[in-house]
Amino acid sequence: MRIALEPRGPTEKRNPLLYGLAGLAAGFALSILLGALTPVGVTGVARALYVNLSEPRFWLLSLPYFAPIAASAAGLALAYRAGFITIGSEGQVILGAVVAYGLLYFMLSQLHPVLALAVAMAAAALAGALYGLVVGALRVYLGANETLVSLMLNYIAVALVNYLVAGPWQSGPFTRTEPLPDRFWISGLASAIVTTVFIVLLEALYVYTRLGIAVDSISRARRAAETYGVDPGRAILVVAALAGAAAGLGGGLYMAAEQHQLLSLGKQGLGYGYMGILAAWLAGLRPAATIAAGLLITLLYNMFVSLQLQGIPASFVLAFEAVIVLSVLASTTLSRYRVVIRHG
Amino acid sequence: MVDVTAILLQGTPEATVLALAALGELVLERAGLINLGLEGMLYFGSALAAYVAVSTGSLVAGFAAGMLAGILLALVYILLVVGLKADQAVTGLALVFLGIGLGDVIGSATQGALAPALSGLGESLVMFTVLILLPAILYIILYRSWHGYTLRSLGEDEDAARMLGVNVTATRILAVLVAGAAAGTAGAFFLMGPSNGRWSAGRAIGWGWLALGTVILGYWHPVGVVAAAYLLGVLYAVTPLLQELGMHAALADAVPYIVVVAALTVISWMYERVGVKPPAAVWRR
Repeated sequence: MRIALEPRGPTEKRNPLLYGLAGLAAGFALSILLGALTPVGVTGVARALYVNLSEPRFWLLSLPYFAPIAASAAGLALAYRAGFITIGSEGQVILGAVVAYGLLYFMLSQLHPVLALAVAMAAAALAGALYGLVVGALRVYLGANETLVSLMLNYIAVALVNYLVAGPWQSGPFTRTEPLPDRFWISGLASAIVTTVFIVLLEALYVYTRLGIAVDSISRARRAAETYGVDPGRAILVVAALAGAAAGLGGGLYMAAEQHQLLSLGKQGLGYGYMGILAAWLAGLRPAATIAAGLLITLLYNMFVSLQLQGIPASFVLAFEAVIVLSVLASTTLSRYRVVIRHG
Repeated sequence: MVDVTAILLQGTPEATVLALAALGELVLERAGLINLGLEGMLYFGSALAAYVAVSTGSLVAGFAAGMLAGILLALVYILLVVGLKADQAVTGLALVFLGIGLGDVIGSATQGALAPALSGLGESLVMFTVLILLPAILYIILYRSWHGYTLRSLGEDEDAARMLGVNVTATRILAVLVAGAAAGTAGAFFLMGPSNGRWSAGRAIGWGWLALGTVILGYWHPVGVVAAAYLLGVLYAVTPLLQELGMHAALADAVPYIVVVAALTVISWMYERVGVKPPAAVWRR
């Protein structure tokens, strides 16, 4: 007897949303079971999860993380559709935060807050786009693997922050900068709204412009792309810049809404860019769907606060997110296949 | 005066960590898969190795636990990617998160207790095995045996391999298991070699990603991979030296990564001209 998966025909595909929700439920159940490994046990983790998802207070607290995670995810969705497997949103988020902080603190402090913030966010997006273009250009013109190059650029961005907070921008004995003046602080809700608007714009670009056709065709149907007159190199440069801009903007918003100052990053970076990758795939690589996927990852991420208070390593939440993503991934994949049992 | 010999030797333990994980990943990628989860496997490997080595006091048990940790995550990968045909990139990335998350929970249970560390001789023995013996054996298997031929054919064209009579599923499962075991063992070596048995949260972060880069930098060839790992190890050893020369510590940290980008750019350009190609299923343009 052999068990095999066969692709379903176009007419017999199951509703991926339904399968996705079932996967989500199974993922939650599984990841709560993982709580058995922690000092608080299954019930402790279940309680932390319940509190985080049921109390509006926690939704509000988690909103500042939405910008870097969901914005990265929306940009990456386009990049991955084009077969451009970058993992550079982490570095771009960090660079966006650095640029936004630098401009707001050192150059625009006399300007009207709204104007200064607008300029700083645009510059953060631009910085992210340029950083993304470096990866795109090396891939398109020199054939360098974008996954590795973007990863290296992440570490370079981390090193830049560590240098700034321990060098020219350091304030006081600790490795961090002065906080931004509070007239430049925005609420988590405001940052989430700006992010959502930006994601909707990306979705519109994907649905209503030639870019959508280009990104969908160059990785999966080269010949179709050529028939449409799509230039693959150019399309990759565009998505590299767009994904970078999205992540950079997310970083700028995160700086204004939550962090307000630069802190030493150690080796790890912030991690939001990597969560953005999870959110992008969780959203089925559809920019608009990253709003929901980003919100889910954000809410889960915020759980770390309550877990930490109970003495569980904060990164346990990473395992939690991973199990949920894997479970949704398995279930949505199953919606496209049929399980066949062959005898003999 | 800079002691060149010392620098050339200093990075060898780190190069061994990278080479071991990267050689495993090489096998997997030659079989036409890609596993971004190396980081999680290595991290989980070092954590489980720490937990078991601390509680048993045994070096061997620590290494076995590290290997087991890598295999456990490899089994998840097999279930999803080989079994359910789920997307490899997402599965791999989720494994990164899973490995780091579980690793921190399990590793923190050691509460700072020291695991037994490898002696100088033991460390040299592992380094020799990984940097000299392993690539030689792998080269013979991959390029001089029928099994290696069938494995590589999977990385070029799955359908053609099937025509050759290759059992695609079995070969891929084996390749993933090898990659997981290698990454987990690399994590265990990282703990009991360069880290002298001390586990702390976040210490093993980043090595798995670097190992993934090592495969690309070594252009999917056992000898290239070990050379790339060695280059990265030396760069790692040079970083403190740059600080002595007056470079800011944080900026010196960035130098290895800049060198990798430059090296990769030159190498990709060069190899394409010579005609050396990565497995088509993994990296096509």
